[in-house]
Amino acid sequence: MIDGEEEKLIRSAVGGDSSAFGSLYDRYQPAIYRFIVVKVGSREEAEDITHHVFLSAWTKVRTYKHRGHPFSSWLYQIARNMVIDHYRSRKDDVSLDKLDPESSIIPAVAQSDLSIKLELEKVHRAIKELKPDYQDVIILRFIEDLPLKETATILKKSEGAVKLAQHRAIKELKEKLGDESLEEE
Amino acid sequence: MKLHDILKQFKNIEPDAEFSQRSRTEILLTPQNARQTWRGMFAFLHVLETGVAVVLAGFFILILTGSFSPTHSISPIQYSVIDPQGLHAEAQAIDMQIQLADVEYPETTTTAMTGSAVTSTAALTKVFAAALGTQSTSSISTPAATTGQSTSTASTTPTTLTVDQALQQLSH
Repeated sequence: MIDGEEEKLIRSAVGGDSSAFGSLYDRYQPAIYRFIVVKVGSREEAEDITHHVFLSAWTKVRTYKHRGHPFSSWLYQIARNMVIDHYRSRKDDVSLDKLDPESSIIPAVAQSDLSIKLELEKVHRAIKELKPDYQDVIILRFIEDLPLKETATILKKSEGAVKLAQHRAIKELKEKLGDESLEEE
Repeated sequence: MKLHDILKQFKNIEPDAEFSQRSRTEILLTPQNARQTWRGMFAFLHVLETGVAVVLAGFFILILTGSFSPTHSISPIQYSVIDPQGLHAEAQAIDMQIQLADVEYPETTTTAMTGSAVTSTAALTKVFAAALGTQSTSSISTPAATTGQSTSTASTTPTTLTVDQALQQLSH
């Protein structure tokens, strides 16, 4: 839910206050970056897209209408559209195998433990094989821990539809992983 | 390890700090107004385009339905003048009667008749008389009769003969 401080920042940013927008950037940039990097699988591409997401948000923020949803919902929607545009404009689909190992998206904390690293890479590869809507549900609901309502707002779906998509996404992900040891809670 | 726990590990992904700082600075240095102005202009052009499209559509609908004709207000020609029914009515109303009055020979009626119209009427009478081949017609005086009675010619009662009547007689 949106708090008083965030509402104040949004109002100032809409009024053209760059420092207020800077604060919103600091607050939401890591989450938006994660959302993008898990979907595109490349740090460089994710950085480019993230930059454009916030640049677009900054130039459009005057037209932002606060409808009671968190500011992040608006940013996620911009990010989703930019990722779609990114795939449309991309001529050749670069597979994960061809990516530079140095630019792996796996977090630094997991790099030390080889088994966790391999597990994460395997799951990430499986997520990438899901259809975009399922990827979004997995990232927003299970990685970012967003509430159902906010996820529904971002994906422009009903909460029921999100629940259904979430169930199917997890089922399909487990099938792709082909490992029954990955229990679902 | 549970799937949910593995997915939670992805939350540890962080963007590069250097990239974040550089991107932030660059974004906040970008002016907002330039893009806003263009947006406003595009919005105005879009509204203008829509308005023109609506006006043109309305104009063509009026033309197609026939409730508006530019010829009424633009054309100098008034088409009502050449209305066929009007013309027919006018033609019917015209009095086409031609009176053949005071038919006399020019030789004998020179004193009584004046003007070229009379002369031409007399000439026409000659033609009719010759065509009818009669000298006893009361309406038209023959040359012979008038010659012998030159004094009474002036008193001959003029008879009106319409063109239709004359033609009818000619046809017999």
